[in-house]
Amino acid sequence: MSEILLLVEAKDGALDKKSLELMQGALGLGRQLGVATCAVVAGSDTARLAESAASFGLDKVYRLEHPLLAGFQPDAWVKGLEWLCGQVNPGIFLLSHSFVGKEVGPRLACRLNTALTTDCLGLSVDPGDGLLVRTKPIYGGNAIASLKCEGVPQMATVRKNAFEPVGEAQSASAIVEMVPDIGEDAIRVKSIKMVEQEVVELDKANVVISGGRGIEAKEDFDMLEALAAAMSKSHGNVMIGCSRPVVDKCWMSSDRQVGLTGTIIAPDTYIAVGISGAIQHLVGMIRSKKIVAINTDPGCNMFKVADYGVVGDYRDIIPALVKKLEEQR
Amino acid sequence: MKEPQIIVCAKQIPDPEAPFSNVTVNVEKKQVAVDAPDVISPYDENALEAAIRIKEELGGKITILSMGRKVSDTVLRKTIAAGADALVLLEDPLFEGLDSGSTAHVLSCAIKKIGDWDLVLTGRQAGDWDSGQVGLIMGEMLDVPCVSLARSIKIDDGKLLVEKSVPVGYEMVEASLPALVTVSNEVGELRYVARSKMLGLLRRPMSIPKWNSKDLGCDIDRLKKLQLTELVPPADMGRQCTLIEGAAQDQACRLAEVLSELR
Amino acid sequence: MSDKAYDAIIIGGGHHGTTIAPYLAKAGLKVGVFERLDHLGGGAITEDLPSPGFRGNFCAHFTRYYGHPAYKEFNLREEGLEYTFPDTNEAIVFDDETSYVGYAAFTVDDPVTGQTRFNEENVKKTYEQIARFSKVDAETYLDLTEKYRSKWRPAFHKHRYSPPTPWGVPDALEELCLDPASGLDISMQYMTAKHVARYFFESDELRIITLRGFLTSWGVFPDDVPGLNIIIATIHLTLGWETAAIAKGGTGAITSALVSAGTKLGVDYHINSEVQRVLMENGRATGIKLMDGTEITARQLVVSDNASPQLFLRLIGEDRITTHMKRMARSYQFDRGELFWGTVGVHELPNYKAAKDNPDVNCTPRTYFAPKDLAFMEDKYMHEIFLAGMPSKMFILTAPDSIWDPSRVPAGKQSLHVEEFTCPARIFSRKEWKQLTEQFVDVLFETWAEYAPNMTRDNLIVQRITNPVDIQDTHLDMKEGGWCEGNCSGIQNGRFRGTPGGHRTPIKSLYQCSSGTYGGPGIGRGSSFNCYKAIADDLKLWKPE
Repeated sequence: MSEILLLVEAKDGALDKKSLELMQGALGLGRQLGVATCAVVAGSDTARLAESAASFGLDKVYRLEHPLLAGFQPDAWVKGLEWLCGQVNPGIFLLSHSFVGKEVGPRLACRLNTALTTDCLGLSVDPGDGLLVRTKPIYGGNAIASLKCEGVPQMATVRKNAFEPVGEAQSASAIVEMVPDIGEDAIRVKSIKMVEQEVVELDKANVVISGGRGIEAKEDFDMLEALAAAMSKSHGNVMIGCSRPVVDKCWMSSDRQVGLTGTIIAPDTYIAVGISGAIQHLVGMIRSKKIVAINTDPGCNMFKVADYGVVGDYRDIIPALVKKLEEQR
Repeated sequence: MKEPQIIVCAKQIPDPEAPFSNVTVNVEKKQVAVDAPDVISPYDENALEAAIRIKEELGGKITILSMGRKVSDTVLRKTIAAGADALVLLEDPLFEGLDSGSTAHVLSCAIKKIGDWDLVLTGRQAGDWDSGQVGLIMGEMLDVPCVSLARSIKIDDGKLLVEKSVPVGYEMVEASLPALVTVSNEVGELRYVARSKMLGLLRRPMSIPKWNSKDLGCDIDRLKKLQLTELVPPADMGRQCTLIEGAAQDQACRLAEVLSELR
Repeated sequence: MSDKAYDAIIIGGGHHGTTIAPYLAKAGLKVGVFERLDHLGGGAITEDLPSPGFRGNFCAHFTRYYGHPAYKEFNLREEGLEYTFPDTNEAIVFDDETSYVGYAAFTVDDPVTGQTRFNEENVKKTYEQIARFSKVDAETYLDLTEKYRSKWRPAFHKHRYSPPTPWGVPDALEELCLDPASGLDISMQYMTAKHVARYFFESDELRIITLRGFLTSWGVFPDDVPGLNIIIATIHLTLGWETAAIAKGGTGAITSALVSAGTKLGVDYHINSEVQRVLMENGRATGIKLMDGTEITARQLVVSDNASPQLFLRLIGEDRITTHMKRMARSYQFDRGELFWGTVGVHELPNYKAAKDNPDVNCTPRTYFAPKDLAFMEDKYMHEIFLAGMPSKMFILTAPDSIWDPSRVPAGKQSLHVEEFTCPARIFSRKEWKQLTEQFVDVLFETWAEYAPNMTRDNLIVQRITNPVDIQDTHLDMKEGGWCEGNCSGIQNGRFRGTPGGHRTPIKSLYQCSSGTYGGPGIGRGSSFNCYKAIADDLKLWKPE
């Protein structure tokens, strides 16, 4: 079998932790199959990134270098990676289940006439047919499916935290520079401008207070803010999150959404207000150290996963709680 | 320019908000049974909302395309009540349990059969398998510009303008039509349909074309089923919940103590 | 090895579990009740609704528990269950500003004993109310009232508090039909509700209130077949025969009183104790296993306060029942009795336009406001509900209980319960139910203000309306969110309700007392009392009068 290839991504100019996790997974498969494990970094100035990627025991690091690969233009990246696969014919191609991986993976799989499995939690190889067995949660995590697909390369995107990050190796990997053939005509979607917004990084919070469908009005999030303010004096970094319906109502931006398609977090304390606990949300916060739920419905799922439950109306409980917390100080 | 012809691909799935006690995993048969009503996958509802907003501004026509073994037109009629103009159902036993590439193939065949279209919209991912592949693959198969994760979509002077969600904020992108866009929930939820409108619509006879694999001229060898090797329930996530009882004041006091202990 | 033992184990501390417990204890048995939730009472509970400061009934509302044998047997009045008895009973105001008020034909003079007397004055008042729109129906009222007093009432009481007779042996109501002077005919057990309303009454007014009444008390839609007991119960509502009764402190007071009585008799109540399985040996129920693995021995019997699907499919298991039982349990219909139900806290009570003719419409315990559109109620109402979750014309029931029970509200405020029917939970998604419920509140106040101009949103302090999903999630036997443990019409009414065997299940020493058996849903109906009678027969225990 030919080599395993993985796409390395950068975050703030450095290697993304997700890529280190992906390396761990890929190297494991490589050892099992006895094949080379290689990574590709793509961009217009990849020297430094390739060098960092080369210190983790991979066989090779491809520097896919082209002016059109600057930033992340999906059309160019898909074209560049398609070209690379044509050159090196990987047997397995792995990506992180990240913004980049989610976009590039399906399109690349289509062009290579193979099948991709997204959001995998685990990977193994069936010794019988040599196919990659991809394990992924379905129905929002209510079931865990393992499946196989035909086609070469065998492709998957891998969820954050599925593997431990790989440690540094003693010897550096070989770096191979590749210049893909990408024409301007490949680019059909033009970027006009990038608007950077203040983005809340919920995974940095000690406490996350989230509101859900049970929150009656947008203004009621002021109560949650007041609670956050009261708690921030003693509990560290307290942030406001939400479940999906709140984003759907345009009451909150999507960076505050906790759950399967939002952020997956594990704060010290998670306070769920008016969130019934659809599994898609639970996946995003279940690893919190302590979970507190406030909900009018005693039968809701959130109480099944919470450490502390308050059955009642948040409009009565939270203001009283804020007052109490302020008195305590 | 002419009024835009928009196709929205909408999948019917069991209500993803159903509590997990309603989900049964049959390990032997490798099947998931969800005891919940069917709904339109939530992101596809967002896609329809985006389409309706374009139609409100520019006119045009919205066609809903839905595929499956057996599609409930009652659920899909809701899309008409909300503002779509036509429905096309793709039904065939061969369409059951297809992988993403095959699904995209069937939908692309249908889109080509419809012929006159400017924009295909669909949800960023379906609420059952959450694969997030079909839209992007359709873009490849239809060989048109493809934008994912839209939070706002406009057609201006025959050009497509999309605000695409990116990790640091959003990116404004432009492409020519025809094009395909996958839609994220930041677009906003599908407008609510008043019961009077819903009732009026449900009474109205409607001819809904149903196309099977022959009608579509699908490449049957291209249709591959998902090959499940195993299906298991997830590990138990339950915790022992201590309920804080009493009047709101008492609950708040006790909760304040609990939170202080959690510092 | 079992961890504990009782003579009698009751699975489920719902209304019928809490009713049967003191009977078994009084018979000298050591009784343990095991409830899944953190509170007892099932549908008989009162909570801080719509919000703290107010008290409202989450589920069951209209009760006449003073008429249940347990009221006297266990001195429930002394245990804190007090009723007040308004004179007005049932009222409806129509969209043309006309109205009808039924006054209780049987009033309670002595709230301590609950003893009733025939009230000629009230009968005259009701007669005059009906005569305003139909002389013929007014005469029918007098005729039926006499038949009720002399024949229907005693038969109905006997029917409610006796176990079902076997097939072929007429029960009290079937016997009544064989009496040509009763005004009832045996064919009526197969009539639809619509047919019954047309048979007895000629006015649109009484037909509408009868059809809505079939829903109010049994969740029976116009094309359903109610059966004799439901026909009598509903006509009795339409004509307002038995007095209305308000339980002070709400329906939860019934549960508190029963539990207090049970505790004195030595009953152990275990909350947060979900039963996983009924333990069996040689086809006999021998105990239960809890979710936490604890096993509890039943020395004599196990009583289940669960509907048949839950008991036979979940707690016993398909492998331990016959194919016939399995089919019966699986095909049990949960498709009726779903509501938008809740409490609204208001500054002032509604002042109906129709009060110009009769101020009593403003203070009747059961007040409907509805369009005078019989054709719609007969043919379209249910269909629209099943299509859209709500009908285009609302037939709303309200209960202004704070008039008679000020303990339900903060000083100077008022509260009302409101009810409209809707469809099974399965028909809509969670998001849609949330949207429908919000829309219901909007439509409720829009409509209400047309009948009572002061019922605008400005008058509203706070509301909490529950929908079928809320009920389904908290009550396992109220699948699809209906309050009646399954459809009550046709085969699911009377001696065949539930599964074959009724209170005596096909499994030895296992009895069923829930409203999913003979007796049906509603507070104070006979299933638990009759179940106890069956047990007393089998085990030669003490028998109540």
